[in-house]
Amino acid sequence: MADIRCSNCQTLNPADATLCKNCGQPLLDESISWLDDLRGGSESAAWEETETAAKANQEAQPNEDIPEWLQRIRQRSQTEPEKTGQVSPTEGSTENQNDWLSNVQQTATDSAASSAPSADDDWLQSLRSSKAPVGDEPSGTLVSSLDRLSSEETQADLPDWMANLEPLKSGAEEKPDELLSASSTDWASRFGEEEPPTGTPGAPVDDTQDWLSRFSQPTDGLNSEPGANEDWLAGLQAATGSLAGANDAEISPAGEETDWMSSLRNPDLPGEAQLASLKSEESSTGEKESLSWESELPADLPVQEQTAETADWLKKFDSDEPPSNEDQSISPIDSERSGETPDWLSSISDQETEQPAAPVEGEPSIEPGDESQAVPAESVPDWLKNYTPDEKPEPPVEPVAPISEEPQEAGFSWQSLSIPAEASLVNNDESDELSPFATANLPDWLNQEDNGSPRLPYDEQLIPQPDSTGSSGGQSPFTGSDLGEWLDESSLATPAIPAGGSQPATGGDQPLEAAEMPTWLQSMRPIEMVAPKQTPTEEKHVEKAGPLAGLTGVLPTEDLVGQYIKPPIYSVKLRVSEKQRVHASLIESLISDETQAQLIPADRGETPRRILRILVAVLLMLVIILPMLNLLPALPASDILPQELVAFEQIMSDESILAQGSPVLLAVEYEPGLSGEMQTASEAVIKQLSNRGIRLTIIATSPTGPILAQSLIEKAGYQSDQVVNLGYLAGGSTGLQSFSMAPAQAAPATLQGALASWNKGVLAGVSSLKDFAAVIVLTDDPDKGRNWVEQVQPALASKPLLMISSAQAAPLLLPYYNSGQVKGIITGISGAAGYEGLIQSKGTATLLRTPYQYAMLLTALLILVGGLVSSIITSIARGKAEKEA
Amino acid sequence: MRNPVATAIAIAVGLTILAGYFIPLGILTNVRTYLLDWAIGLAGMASLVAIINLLMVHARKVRDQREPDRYSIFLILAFLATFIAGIVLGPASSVFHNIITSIQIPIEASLMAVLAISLTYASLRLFKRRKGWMAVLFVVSTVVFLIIGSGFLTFGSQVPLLRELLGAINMLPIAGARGILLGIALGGLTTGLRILLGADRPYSG
Repeated sequence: MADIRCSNCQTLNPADATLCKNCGQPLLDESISWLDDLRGGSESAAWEETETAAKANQEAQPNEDIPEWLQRIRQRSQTEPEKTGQVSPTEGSTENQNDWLSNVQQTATDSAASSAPSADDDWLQSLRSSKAPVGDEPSGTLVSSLDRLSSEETQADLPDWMANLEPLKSGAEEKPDELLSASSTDWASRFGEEEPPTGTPGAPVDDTQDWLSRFSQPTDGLNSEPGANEDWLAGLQAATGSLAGANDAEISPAGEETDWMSSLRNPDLPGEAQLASLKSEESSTGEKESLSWESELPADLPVQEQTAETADWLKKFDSDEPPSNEDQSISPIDSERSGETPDWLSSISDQETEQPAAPVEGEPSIEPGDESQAVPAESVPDWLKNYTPDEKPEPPVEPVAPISEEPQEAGFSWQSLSIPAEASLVNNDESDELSPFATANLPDWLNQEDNGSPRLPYDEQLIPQPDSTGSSGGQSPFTGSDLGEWLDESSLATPAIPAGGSQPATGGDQPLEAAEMPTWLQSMRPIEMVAPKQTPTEEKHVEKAGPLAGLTGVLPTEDLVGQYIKPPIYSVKLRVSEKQRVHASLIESLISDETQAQLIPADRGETPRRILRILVAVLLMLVIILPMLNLLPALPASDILPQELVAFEQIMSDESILAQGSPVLLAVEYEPGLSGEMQTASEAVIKQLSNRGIRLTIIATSPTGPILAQSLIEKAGYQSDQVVNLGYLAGGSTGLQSFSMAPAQAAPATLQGALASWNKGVLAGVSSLKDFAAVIVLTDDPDKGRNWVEQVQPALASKPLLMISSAQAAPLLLPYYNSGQVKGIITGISGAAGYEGLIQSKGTATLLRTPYQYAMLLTALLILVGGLVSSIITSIARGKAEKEA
Repeated sequence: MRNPVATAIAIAVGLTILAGYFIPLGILTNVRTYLLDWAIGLAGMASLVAIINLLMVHARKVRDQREPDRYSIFLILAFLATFIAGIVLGPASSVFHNIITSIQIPIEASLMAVLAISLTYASLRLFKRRKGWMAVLFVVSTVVFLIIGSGFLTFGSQVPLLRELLGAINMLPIAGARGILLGIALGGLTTGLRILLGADRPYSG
């Protein structure tokens, strides 16, 4: 078991330690979880998590799940295809060759020996097995295959790395010895070993590399079920095509883009030195077609700088690396440290999008459509060109020394990718198999190499088959809870780990590092990843009866409880604006005021009011009675009489108007209730007419008028032969109109029921109203007085119309006096008293004037005093109420 | 139009009466006279109908099962007594005259006296019930005209200024009354025109 090197203080700690014994730094790496899976992919727990996450993300689209950093890599690789580095991959020594390449050779040899299906297949074994059907090739070398492929493909369609591969191949043919020496490197040797259809049986194979077996499965001629295919690489390809034209500015720094790539560069890889030697040869020959990524490899870059450029989680990788050569390998992966996508990756991406794999004619051993074979020779890297078909499989690389023995400055090796020491002890190739292919950014040239089915998409080709030679039990180390969906999709198709214990060795005692996704990657995760998903229950349902008994998930079952969704609660609250709310509150306040019982002031009782009423009545009666008893002095009469009164007296005293014995029409238009005032007011006038022998004709439009007139005449002592009472004139104003036109027809009978003797007796000489010397109207109603003015007065011609009215009707009749329609008016008792004063007689009016005046004054005084007292009492009560409040 | 014949008759009669005012033609005067006589006869019959209706209403009140009006009995009895006395004795009978003068005049006079006391008492409590400028104006005008009407200020006629002031105060009710009369006249004119034009048809029910 390898120790764990603290990323902080670089102190070696036991494998089971979780905290650094020196600095206390947590030893669990918080790096990307897919690398955790990469490192600890053999642990069952990790695989279980991977499965769970894969199922949860099953619905996600693979094309949308490509991490942005990978897309940027592709974009950059496309936009900078021509960019070359300063360092050639051949400049390094052969020791600097990558382990993964050597593992290719070793695995090819080992897996050839154990071609039978077993649970020990690793990814390189799968890679080898993928070439097994292609065993018809004479040499079986990769270079030869590529060469043949290049002959079939056009040069323009091939990626750069394949183009570089062509001179590499040619160079290998020219210098077989050098190639042989170069093939001594792990990675190159594995390529060479890959060609033979057979390998060393029973070679230990790490199950942690089973993910790579997917690459070979489609080419193995095994059944590739489309439904079980995982398109994590297909998504990668699609994203490459879609993002081909992306802006270069979007490319993130090297530290973000190619962390895994940079982590992969490790000078400790056994084959790096050999690869470097190959590169040096290529550079010495002056070939300028070296791979751009090779040229970009910072071969001289010290380890310190590499550590600074890489992320923390990669630093941990570095710390776990076994010691290797000091000269940093110039491997293809090292070019990724520069943050620039190598050309071989970009070219692959372009080729994937532009040209599907075309079948290679004349190559029966090669599956049609195998893009790896379709790669032109120009795209083949130099280091791969040096690979010769004659090279023989190298023995397995020695196990990597324990990490504890590695110096801190040791370069990166693939064992550092948390490959358990136990697994590495079993087979050194297993540790080497944790190559950059194990990541999502696996170079497609390897993928193309295995892809022999052109009709199938890449994802279908890469998806491991459950029953393919028993190697399907391996799961991709990318499958992890923190992997993106594009990676999780691949894990979905990964069959369950066989019970045979083909799971990748993890060391057992070393705990898995915390599966935490970096924040930048979390932010890029789709929502479907984050949103909780309900685990489908169909798969867990086991049929218990019927022909399907014992089968799981055959029939879709519905979890009613799980499908139950609480019905949405719709709010019935009315949306009311502020203005409407104000109005509603106003209405509410109004209604509340109406509904509230009004406070009724306490009744002080009827007694005080009754006493007050009696008191007022007593005072008025006393004021009226006392003057009449001469107990109160009489008030002086006014010297100034109203003009209407004076005019009335002038007409009455005018002998030319009211001559002795002339007929006068007297209209009695008052009610019995006011007969006391009207009789008093008209008493003096009636006496004056009587004294002057005036023939009096009485008529009334009121039913009681003729009787009141009869009473008035009798009271005045009028002789009955000088008076004719025509009685009641019906019709109101209409009757007056008719009477004014034809008095004899309108009032043909007297009150006694006899026919009126017009032009006879009292009515002698009277056939119309204008025959009367004067018309005197006694009225207490202004309307009746108006009717007489309006209906009768025009028929009187120049004869005067006089009125004796009550005090309350006088104001409305005075205008007719001012207009000349009425020649004189006597108003009430005061007017009658004045008229009596004018005619120098003392009648009832003079007698009642003093009590009348006192009553009027007392009434005015009571109103004033009462008003003041009421105001004072109210003010006092209000003041008390305010004080109490 | 609900009843065009009635409307046409009403308009024709109205125009004929109106023309009789302005056109001194004998035929128009005769026609107007006859029409007015018909109107007076109809008004008398309407009074008789009103008297009969009054008796029936009070008879129903007496026969009311829930709240019988006992006082309606006195009205009906008084009417019948007066009606019978008038028919038997005649309206010119002194006995019949005494019924009017001995019963109706004191009763109505008493009511007027009670009204005077009630108005005075109400004026005392005016400011308790109603406050404001209108109440003050009513009280002031009432007091002023009571004093003026009483003749208490007749001595003021000796003072030139006071005399002019009293004369101006006396003109206030006359001015108001003239305004009222003018309003009545205009209202009557408008009503007459509307009837003549058929806009108002009070006879159509």
